[in-house]
Amino acid sequence: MHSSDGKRSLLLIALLGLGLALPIWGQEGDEELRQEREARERLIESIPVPEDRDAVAGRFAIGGRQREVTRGEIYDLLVLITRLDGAVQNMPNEDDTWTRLMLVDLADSLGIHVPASELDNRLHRKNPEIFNGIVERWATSGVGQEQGLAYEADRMRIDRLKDFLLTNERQTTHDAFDQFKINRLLYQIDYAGFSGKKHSDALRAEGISDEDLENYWKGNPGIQARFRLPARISGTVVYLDPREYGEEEANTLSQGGTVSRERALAYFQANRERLIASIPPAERQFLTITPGTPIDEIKSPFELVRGTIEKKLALEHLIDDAFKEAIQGGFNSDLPAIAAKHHLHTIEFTDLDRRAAMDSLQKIGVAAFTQLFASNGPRMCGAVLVFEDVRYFFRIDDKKESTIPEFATVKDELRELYYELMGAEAAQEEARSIYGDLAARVATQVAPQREQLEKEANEAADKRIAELGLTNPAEQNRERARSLSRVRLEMDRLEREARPAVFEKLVQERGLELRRSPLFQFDTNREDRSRIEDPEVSRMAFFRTCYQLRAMKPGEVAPAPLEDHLTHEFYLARLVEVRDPELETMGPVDLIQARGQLQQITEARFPREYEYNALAARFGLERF
Amino acid sequence: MFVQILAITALLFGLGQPVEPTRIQDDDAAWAALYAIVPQHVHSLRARVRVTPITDLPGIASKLEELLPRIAGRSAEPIARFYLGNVLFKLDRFDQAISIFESIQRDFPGHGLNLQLGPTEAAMVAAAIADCREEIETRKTYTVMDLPKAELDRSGRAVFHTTEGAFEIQLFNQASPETCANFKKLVREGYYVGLGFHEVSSFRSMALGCPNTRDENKSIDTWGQGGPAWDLPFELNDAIHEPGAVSMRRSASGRSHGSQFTICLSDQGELNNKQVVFGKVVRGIEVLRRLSQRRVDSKGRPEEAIRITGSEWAEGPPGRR
Repeated sequence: MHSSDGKRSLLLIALLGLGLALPIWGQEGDEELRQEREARERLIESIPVPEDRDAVAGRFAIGGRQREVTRGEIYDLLVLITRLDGAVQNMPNEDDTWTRLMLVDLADSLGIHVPASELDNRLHRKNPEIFNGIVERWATSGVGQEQGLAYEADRMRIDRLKDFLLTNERQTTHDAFDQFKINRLLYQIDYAGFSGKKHSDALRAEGISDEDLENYWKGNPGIQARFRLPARISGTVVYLDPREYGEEEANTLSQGGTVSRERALAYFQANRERLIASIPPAERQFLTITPGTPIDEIKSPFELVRGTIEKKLALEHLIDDAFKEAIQGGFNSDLPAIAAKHHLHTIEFTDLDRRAAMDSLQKIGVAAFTQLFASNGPRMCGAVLVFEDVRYFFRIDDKKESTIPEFATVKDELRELYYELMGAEAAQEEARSIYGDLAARVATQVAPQREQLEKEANEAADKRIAELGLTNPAEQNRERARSLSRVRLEMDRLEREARPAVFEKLVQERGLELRRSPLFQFDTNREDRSRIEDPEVSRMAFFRTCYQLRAMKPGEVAPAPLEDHLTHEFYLARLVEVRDPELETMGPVDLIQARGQLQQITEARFPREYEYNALAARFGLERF
Repeated sequence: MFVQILAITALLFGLGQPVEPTRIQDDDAAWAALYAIVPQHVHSLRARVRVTPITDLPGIASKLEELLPRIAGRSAEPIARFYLGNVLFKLDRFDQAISIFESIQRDFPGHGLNLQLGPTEAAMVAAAIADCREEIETRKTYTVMDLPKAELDRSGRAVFHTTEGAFEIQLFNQASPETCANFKKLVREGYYVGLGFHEVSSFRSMALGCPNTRDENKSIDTWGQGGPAWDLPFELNDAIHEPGAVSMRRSASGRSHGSQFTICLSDQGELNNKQVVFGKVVRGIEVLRRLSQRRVDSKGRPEEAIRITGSEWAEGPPGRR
């Protein structure tokens, strides 16, 4: 490296440390820097120069001390930030200037100071070559030394301020508890259930004639699809899996033939990723060097799998010979006998659908199913096929296409399904009718407020249309819609508030039996309830994962019936209470976990708290 | 004679007298001394922060305590006191923290730390004192235990083989010594070989270690009820039930079970404090996740046994025998 290169690299490191634009090595880098500088200058030219530099641009207050900032100050600072921190991808704007002003002022208020020695270190003042390089860069950006030094000092003060605030964050036990309880709040609901079973039992007792059932069958293609029989195949697979042969057997069957290194290596190269992945964990240690590893123990991946490859290649002739013999023998060849003769294995299958094939034919891989099930009838495959280390060929003797069964063969099963589905439908209807009633009564109750709100919204829209002088009907409609959308939000709130009392009345009138659940926690993981026999346990498991309930506030009634798809039960529900768990339920490990989570939240939250929007709100920034 | 010489020497050199701290006379030097003690974090231009963790709170506290008299009267003093107060808070020394914070209120009433920075927020010192008082109140009824720190011992690991592949577990030997020693012993003896997972929840957790699962003729109703003749002390540490955590199940006595353990495949916070996490799956969690998807009955017992086909204790990092 030339000495000038050495200086350049030191300067590069120094500039990076300052967060300045990164120059790329060589002439291309200079060119890129020049372009970047020009882009910055263009942007600076586009910043409007204030006509009255002394006019107040805005004000904010920190620590009770109000600070007014002039347009001239804002302009100068924005130019400076653009020159020193601007990048083509991320050009500063006025918000950045205000952010910087507020942060510097905050640091002042707290008396945060950065010693001169720290600034000197940052700017490498003890190394004149680097320091002069930095100053030179400033100069080429149109920034004087004093200005650059003051800018860097402020930047460091902001960093130290943030260090101070971040290090001095405190987490109380209650902060941790607030985090802990998020997923452990205890809920209690009142609910009325509408069971499909009650209706199904009634329907079952009543019965349905074969004729009506057949009409139901014919009129419901969706129901027919439930009974659809999948395509099924029967046939034989003959395969060679080298892993199923011991060393001795493989040696005997390979007929003394040796596999050349080149051939084995070619196979390895073609199947490299799969073969490396197949190396058992216990042997992987030989692939890497760690301190203390005897060097002669280290092996290449090829060396580790070479034995397997050689065995596979040496035995390949068995399946090739068997396939030839099967082809020569014609379609009706005795495949199991041929396989046995050539020391191969067979899988014979009858009426196998795709699902069953996943288990029975996993040896030849799922990709093979496309070929197997694509057959229109009996057929022999045209070549020996490969799946990983397994080679195979197959014959399909029979294929049954996917069909809808005859009504007569499914009618008993269908009848049960009919009772179940019709029962569920009736239960849903019952719940919906109550909800319809509830919605109608709520709507009636809030109708006067709705009318008033809509009237006000329309008046407001008309006024705004007049103010804006909108004459285009489309624009007028847009303005009206915008005004009405605010009404909708308010109406939602009114309906939500009215619903509990109406619900209460409705429950009494209809004589519904409301049941109160025990306190329960929500669970984000849905468990498999299909095997839960106790209906109460199953119901609580449903409530625990019911997201509609979680979104409600105490006293609120669910805006629609809750549907349990598994049991076909429908529920009207009202959230009675959301209770904090006891502080004592937070064990010592929970506390540690919650504190860890809080720490992560702080790291994510902290930068946002010192961005423009948060600072502007916090310190009452007013811009003119 | 020797004692006399020592006494004279001590008198001459002023030993035994309280040593006056060397005052730092310059503001810059005071700030430099403070910044040398407290952590600095990385604030990137892209509004991100990388926090430098404090690993030695007592060390920082004593350095700050030593620094304070030296920077008395310097502009860094209130900030240094505030740092110390918060370090004491983190060390649970709340009364001392309050004294420090109150000293800032008393000695530097006009300092920014005592002012409301924003119109709706409390002054920083006042907020700190309130936090200390709240914490003192909380601790009257709530005990915060100091748990041993769980750090993986990288020198060895248990390797378990299954039909789907192997998985490896490293242990928190220091934090839960008896639990780990017992587990290591059982692995070395091959105790787990041939056992089946007796409770599996898809993508959530898997339980292993009941010897009743070894014998195919034994009723599956006995699964989860077997174990060695001993149980283990409940050696709680600060490890949580996160994905990969391995924790000892509880025996009826409330102590840790002698052989049965749970492997977490996702966060299982509800097991925190209830089971001792004594290790972590460091390799092969995907094997376990795959196995966890097998069909199980309503009690989570696999319909087709998922067995440990081999196990060994291996020295060194994962992948090395």
